[in-house]
Amino acid sequence: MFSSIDELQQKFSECQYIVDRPVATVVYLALKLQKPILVEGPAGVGKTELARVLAESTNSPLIRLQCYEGLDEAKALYEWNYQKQLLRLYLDQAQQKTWDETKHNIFTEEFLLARPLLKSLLSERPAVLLIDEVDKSDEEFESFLLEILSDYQVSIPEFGTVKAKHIPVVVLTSNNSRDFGDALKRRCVHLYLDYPSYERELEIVRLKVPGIKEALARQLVRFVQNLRGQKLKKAPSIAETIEWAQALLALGVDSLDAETVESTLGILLKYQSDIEKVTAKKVASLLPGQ
Amino acid sequence: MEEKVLEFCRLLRKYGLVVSFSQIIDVLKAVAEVGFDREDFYHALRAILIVEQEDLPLFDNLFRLYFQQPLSKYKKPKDSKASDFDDAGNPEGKDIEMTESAEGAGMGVEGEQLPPGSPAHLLAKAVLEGNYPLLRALADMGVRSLGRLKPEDFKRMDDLIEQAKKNIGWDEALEILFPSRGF
Repeated sequence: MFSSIDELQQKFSECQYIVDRPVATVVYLALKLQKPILVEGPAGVGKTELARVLAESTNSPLIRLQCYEGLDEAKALYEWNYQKQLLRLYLDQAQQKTWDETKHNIFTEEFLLARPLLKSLLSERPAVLLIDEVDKSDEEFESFLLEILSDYQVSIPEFGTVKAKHIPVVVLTSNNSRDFGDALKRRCVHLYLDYPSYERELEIVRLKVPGIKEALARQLVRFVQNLRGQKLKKAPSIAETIEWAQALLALGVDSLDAETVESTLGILLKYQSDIEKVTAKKVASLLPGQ
Repeated sequence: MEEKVLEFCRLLRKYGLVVSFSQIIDVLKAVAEVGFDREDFYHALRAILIVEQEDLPLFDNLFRLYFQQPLSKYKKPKDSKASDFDDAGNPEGKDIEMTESAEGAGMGVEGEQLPPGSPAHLLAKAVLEGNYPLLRALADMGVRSLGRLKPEDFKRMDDLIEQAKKNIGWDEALEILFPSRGF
């Protein structure tokens, strides 16, 4: 896929996703070693986006599995299309088919509902499988996920063993809300995505919000960087910085002042308690050049 | 160099980090891909070996100690200036040949006989002369004097450093160098 770390960085930035060399190195290695990537870090920092960009830059289909508590095999792996099978049974009965003939008919791919994990194995082209928020799932799910990530094949009763046509690139994301199994962790290459530096965030804003004035971009990024230093329930993520920049651009703001910031603070901070913490006085102190 | 990597993995295990066999295989494969360039090498090892974020400080300390202190295996080119500093701010200089020594055992120094006298005197002498190899040898001695370290010990790094300093007569050396400093 990529012949060097530099090429990966280059292709990613062509898809408007800027990565530092350390991040590019880890992704590159995961691909070369064919290991899943476990991406951790605060919300909104670009974990899911990474998978999307990986798919785009390699021209691969993106198959997404959103995890939640109680996610089971039926929703993650496969399910038989019972309704269709029943209909078929009626038909066969009408035609007086034997059980053997019927059995042969209803347990075929036509009646198999492939969920994301199975889809990734069946995919005609190598896919990127994104398993989002794996920390939200439970131990049961983890154990059969581990099985799949070990052999890249599944055994479906009545159907047979399905081996991956192409081994998918697996990206798992986690918000660290639950500590999960050691075996799964050791199978993965680890990436910790953190909030960007001032320069990096400025680059991102310039890229994602073309048309924004340089002076304003610098001001707003500096403000967000300062804001993150405060004790907040939820610090603004990159996504929020971009939204804020877009809003300021739409509002025709030329330069940041305390009033503008206060009135648009809701874009950056999602918790009322945080908004209340950042009083007018605070805003003034966090604004650059004040 | 692969041996050094294997040794490093053994070192991590010694200090309580769990490193599975397959992780070691992966590390070797990764190193074959990225080479030994410092930055890429560090991030590759970190991504494969560190499974819990809380193990990172220990990993960083061991990595720094293991890969950044060139001893006898790496001889500096003859033309390097005596007072160069490498990127990490460690003083480089003409490396002296140091014989391999077992943990805690005495250190033989070829080419420069360790003069008799207490460590404190040696330390003061080394500072006065700007003798970096000797300084480094003394620092090494200080660390070795701490004996076997466990991973929990790294949490009290400051205490360890104080102890090591004490073992090589730091305060006495200061007294020799700067008498009546009022310590």
